[in-house]
Amino acid sequence: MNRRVFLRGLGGAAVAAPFLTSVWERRSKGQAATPPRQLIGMFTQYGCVTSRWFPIKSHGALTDADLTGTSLAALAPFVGKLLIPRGIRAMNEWTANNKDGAGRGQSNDPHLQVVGSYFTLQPITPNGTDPFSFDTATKFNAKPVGTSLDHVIAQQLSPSGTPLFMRVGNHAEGPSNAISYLKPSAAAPDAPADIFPGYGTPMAVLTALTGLFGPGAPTADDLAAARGKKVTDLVKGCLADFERQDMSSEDRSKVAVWKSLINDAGTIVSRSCSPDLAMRLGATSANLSGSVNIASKVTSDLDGADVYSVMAVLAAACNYNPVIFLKYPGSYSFSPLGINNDSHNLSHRLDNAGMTGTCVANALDQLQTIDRFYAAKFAKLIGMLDSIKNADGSTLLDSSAAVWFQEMSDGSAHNLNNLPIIQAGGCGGSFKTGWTVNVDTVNTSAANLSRGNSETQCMVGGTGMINGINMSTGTPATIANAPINKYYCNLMNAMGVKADASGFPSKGGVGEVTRFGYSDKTTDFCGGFGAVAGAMIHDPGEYTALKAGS
Amino acid sequence: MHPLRSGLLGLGIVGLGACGSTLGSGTSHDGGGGGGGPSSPGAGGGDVVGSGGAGPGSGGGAATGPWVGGAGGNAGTGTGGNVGTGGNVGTVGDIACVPGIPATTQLRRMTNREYDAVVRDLLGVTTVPMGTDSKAPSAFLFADFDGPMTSDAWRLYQDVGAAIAKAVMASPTQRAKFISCDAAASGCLASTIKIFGRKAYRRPLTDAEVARFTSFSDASVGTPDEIAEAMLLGFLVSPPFLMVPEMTTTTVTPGPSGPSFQLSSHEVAARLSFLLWGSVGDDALNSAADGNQLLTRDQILAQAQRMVAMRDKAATQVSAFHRHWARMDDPGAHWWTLDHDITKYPLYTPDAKAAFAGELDSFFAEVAFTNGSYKDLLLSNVGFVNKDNAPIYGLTSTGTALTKVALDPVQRPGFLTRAGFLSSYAHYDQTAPLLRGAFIMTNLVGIDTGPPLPAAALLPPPAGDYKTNRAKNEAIINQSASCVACHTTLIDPPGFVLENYDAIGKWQTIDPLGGAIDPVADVTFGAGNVKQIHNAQEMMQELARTPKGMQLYARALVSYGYGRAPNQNDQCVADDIGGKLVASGYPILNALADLTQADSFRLRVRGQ
Repeated sequence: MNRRVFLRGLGGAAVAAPFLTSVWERRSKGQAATPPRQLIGMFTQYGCVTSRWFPIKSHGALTDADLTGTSLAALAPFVGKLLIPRGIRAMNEWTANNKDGAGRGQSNDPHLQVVGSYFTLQPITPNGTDPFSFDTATKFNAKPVGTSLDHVIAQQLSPSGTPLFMRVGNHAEGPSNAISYLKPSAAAPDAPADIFPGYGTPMAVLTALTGLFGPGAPTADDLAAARGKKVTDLVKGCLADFERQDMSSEDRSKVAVWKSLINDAGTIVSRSCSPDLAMRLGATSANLSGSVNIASKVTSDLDGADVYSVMAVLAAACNYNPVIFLKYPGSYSFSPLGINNDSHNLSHRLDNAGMTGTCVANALDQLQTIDRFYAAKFAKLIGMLDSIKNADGSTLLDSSAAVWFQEMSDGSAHNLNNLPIIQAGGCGGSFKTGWTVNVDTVNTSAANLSRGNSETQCMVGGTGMINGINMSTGTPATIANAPINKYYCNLMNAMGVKADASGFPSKGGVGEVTRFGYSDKTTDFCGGFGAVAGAMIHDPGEYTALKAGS
Repeated sequence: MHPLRSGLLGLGIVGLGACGSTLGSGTSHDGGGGGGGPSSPGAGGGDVVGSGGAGPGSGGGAATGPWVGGAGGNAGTGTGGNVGTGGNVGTVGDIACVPGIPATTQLRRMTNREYDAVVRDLLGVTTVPMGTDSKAPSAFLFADFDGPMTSDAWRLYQDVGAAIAKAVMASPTQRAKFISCDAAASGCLASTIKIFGRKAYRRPLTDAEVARFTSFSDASVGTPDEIAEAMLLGFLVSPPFLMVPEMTTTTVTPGPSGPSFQLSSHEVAARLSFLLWGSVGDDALNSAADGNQLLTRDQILAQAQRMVAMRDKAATQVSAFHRHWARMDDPGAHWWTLDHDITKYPLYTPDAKAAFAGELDSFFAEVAFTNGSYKDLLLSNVGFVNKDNAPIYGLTSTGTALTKVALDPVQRPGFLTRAGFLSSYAHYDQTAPLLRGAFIMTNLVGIDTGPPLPAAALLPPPAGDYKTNRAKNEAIINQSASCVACHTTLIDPPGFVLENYDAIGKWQTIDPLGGAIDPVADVTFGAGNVKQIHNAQEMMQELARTPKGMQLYARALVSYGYGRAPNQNDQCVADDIGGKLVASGYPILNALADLTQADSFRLRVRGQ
C-alpha cells in the first residue's frame, strides 16, 4: 500500500503546532515526536471453529503461508504486524461440574459469567450454585463486582475518563452479553458494577467527534493535507477528462493505470484530524445514518460493521480516546452472508442455544463463514489504521494495539482455555510483532500447541449439543491455561497505565502494572467473591515473551 | 525532433553474415552495434520504445521519442534484420514507401529533456534543490521509459514538482513568470490560472479545468501564496502538462491507413515546438494556434521555417539529432567510453571529453545554421576550441568557452576529423583503424560488416618489427583467410586513410612505432564503387556524394523527428528528403522543415 506523504515538498517537516484553545490543543500535542498509543479492542462471542482458526504453528515467526487456509487468511497482508499469543485462558469458566465449590468457575451461566468476568477478571454476583439453574438473578442478571479493563485504562489515560465503547449493530446489551463495566469507587467490594452502554450508533460517535472539527485554526499540516487533496482531485479530474475521449485500448490503459496510482496515493496519508479525514474514511452522514445488518453493504467498501470500525479509526487518528472497543453482538443472524441461523445456536450446532435441539446441517461451515467475516472485519479495521501515518513515519497501527478477543474457544464446549486471541500493531514498539508466541505454562514456546477440536457437529437428525456436558470438543483442560491477567498487564503497561506499590493499576501510581483482577486462577472463582480462600494473583507480572526484543 | 532509443537509426541492416574480422587489442567491431532496425517495439508494435533507464537521472540522452508506444504502428519492412552473424556482408535494408499515416498514441509523455526545457522556458528553472542536491529537474526524475505511469515515476514527478513550486515561489524572478500579481489581490489567482495555464497546457484551459484550479481558493486551505504554490504544483503534475495529448476528433477522410483525424491548431503547435525546439512554443506560435492558423501545409510550413531559423531556440534540437545520427547516445557505440594514455598523449586530459562533445554539438549547429547541407557535415572545416582541445589542432586557446575557428580544410574536413570522433574511435594507447573504418562503412556507406568471428579478438600479431600500426593490423588480418575479405576490402581502408590522426585526433605523419604514415587505400563507397583514396579530404568528398549515406541520413532524420521506428509510411517522407539531399546541396534546415509537410504531421490515426 502506498502511504507516502503526498506533500512532503510543500509542507516540509511537521510544523510545531501552536498552542490553541479547546480541543485543538490536545491534538496538536498529540502530533509530538512520539505518537500517542491506542488500545482498540474487538470482541466477538461464541468462540470459533478453533481447528480452522488457529495457524498450525503456535510459536515462531509468522508468514502469510501460516495463515493460508485458516479463517485468518484475510489478515495475511498484515502478517508482519500481527501477534498471536497462544496458550491463554480467560477466567471463570462454566462447566457442568461447577457446583459445590468444584469446577472451573462459578455456576451461573456459560456466557453471563464469562463475559462478566472477561475484562473485569472479577467474580459475578449473585453467585449461582447450580450450573443448570434458570434462576433469573443468577443466570440472567448477575454482574461482575469490578470495573473492566477498558475503564481501568481510560480512567488514567482518556480525557473523558471513560473508553469509547461501541456496540456494533446497536444491540442492547444485558449481562449475558455485556463486557464493559464501571463500578463506582465508593461501592462495596462485593457490589456489582454497572454495565457501561457506550454508543450504539456510529452517528452518535461522529457527533461526539465533530466537536473536534469545530471552530479553531487548523494546524499547518491540516492545511497542507487539504491543499494536497486539491491537487489529487485535480489530477483525477484531468484523467477523467481523458477517459471520456475516444482512444485506443493502449491509451485507455495508460489512463487507468495512472488513475489507480492516484487512488493509492490519495488515500489517507497523514494523521490529521479533519473533516477531510472523516470523509476519506467514509464517515459521512449518508453512510452512518442507516440501520442495517452488520454484514450488509453500506457502500461498495463498507458494510454495517465497518462503519463502526471507521469511527474507531477516526477516533484513534484524532486522538479522541486512547481506549476504543468494538463489541460485536451476540445471538446474531448473519443473513447477508447466507446464514439464517442465530450465531449462538450455530455455536451449539443446534437450532437453539440450549443443550438439546435439532442438529443444524453444515454447522461448522456456517460457523467458519462467520469466523471469516470477523477476520475480514478485523483486517479492515487494521488496514485502515495502517493507512494513516503518524508524524514520525510510523502508522496508526504501529502505535496501537488492536486486539480481537473472543468470548471463548470452542462455542459448544464453552472452554476458556486455548483462547483465540489475535493482536495487530506493536503499540509503539512495546510488543513483538510478526510472531505467534506460546506462553502456555505447560509447554512454553512449544510450536505445536493444540488447535483444539472443533471439528465435530452433530448428525442431522440428532438432538444433542455437542459435548456441552463432556466438552470433548474444545481443548483438554490440562493445557493452554496461561492466565489472561498477565496479557492485560502487557497491554496496560504498553499503554502507559501506572500502578501503585501493590502492582494494581492506580491513578497517580508510578510503577508498572503487575497485577489485575480478582485472581489469575479460574478455580478461584468457584463460589463467587470470597468463597475460595487465598484467591489472589498468583503469578504477577506481564508476559515477557510478548514484548519486543524478547 | 525527438530522441529515439539509440538502436533505432533505422539502418535496417540485414546482415547476411560476418566477415569474421580480426581485432586488435581486444576491441570489437563497431558494426551494427546500435542494433540495426528497431528495438523491441512498444505495445502496438512498430513505434519507438523508450530507453528504460535504470533510475532517476540515468539513461542520459537516450530519451524517448514523441509518440512512444504508438498503438498499432506499422512495422517497417526490411528492418529488424539480424545484425550479421557469420557469413557474408550485408547492406542496409531498403524500406518500400507505402503511403499512409502510422497509428500513434494520443498520450505521449514528455521526455525528461523536454521537461527540463519546458520548466526552463516557462519558469526560468534550470536547477532545483532536492535534499542536499541541486541539479536539473530531470536528474531527479525517473529515467525516460515507455508505457503507463509507474508508482515510482509518479512519486518522483510529484516530488520534483513540489520542489520546483517551492523554489519558484521563493524566487522573485521565477515567481514573476508564474504569477505576475499579488496572490492576495482580488482576481490575481483567477487570472494566473488562465494565463499560466494557457502556457503550461499549450492551449487555453477548458471551463472545467479552470474550475478545478479555482477550487483551490474556495476553501481556507492556506495563505494566498500557499494556494498559489499548490496551484503551480497542480499544473506541474497534471496530465495535460506531463503529457502531450492529442484528442481532437475532427475526422478528415478515410485514407490508406484508415480514417484520420485532423489535429487541432493547438495540437499542431505542440508538435511543432517539440519537434523543432524541444520545448513549448513562443507567443507567435501560440497566437497562430489560438487563431486556428495551423491547419494547412502552408500555414504549418510558414511557422516551421520561422522556428527552425531561430538558432537560439532550435540549435539544441539540431545538435541532438546529429548526435543521434552519429550514434553518440548509443551505449553500444564507442563514443566517450575511454580515456587515453597521458604519457603517450600529453595533450589529452579527461576533461577534454567535454570540449570534444561540445565542439561536435557546435559543429553540427554551425553547419546547419549557415545553410549547410549533408556534404558540409563531412567537409566543413569549422572548429570550436578551448584550452582543452585547441592544442590537438595545433592551436592555442585559453579559457573554457568554445571559440569558433577555421581549421585546415585539407587536414580537417568534416566531423570525422574532429577530436571527438577520432579519440572515441581509438584505443587507449594507439589508433584503431578497424573501429574508424567500420563506423564509416556502416553509418555513411551503408555496408554492415557484422560482428567479428568468435575468438578473433584473441589473434595476436605475428612476430615482427612493425613500423606502423597499419602494418601491424594488416599482419594480424592476413593470418586468417576468413578475415581478409571484409577487412582488406571494406573495413580497414577507411581506417587506414585516417591514420594521419593519432589516438586523440592530433595530426601525425610519423607513426609512434617509427614509420611514415601511409594513408593511401582503396576505399569502397558502394557496390562496384571502389576508389583509391590518398587522404582524408578525398575520402570525405566521396562520402559526401554517396547516395546511400544521404538516404540513411534522411531516414534517421524522419525516424528521430517523428519518434518512430522506420516504417513504410514514414519511408515516403524519408525518400522525399533523401532525394532532395542527393539531388543538390539541400540545406539541413530545409530538411527539418520538410518534416512538417507530411500528412502524418497534421493528421493522426488512432490505434486499436
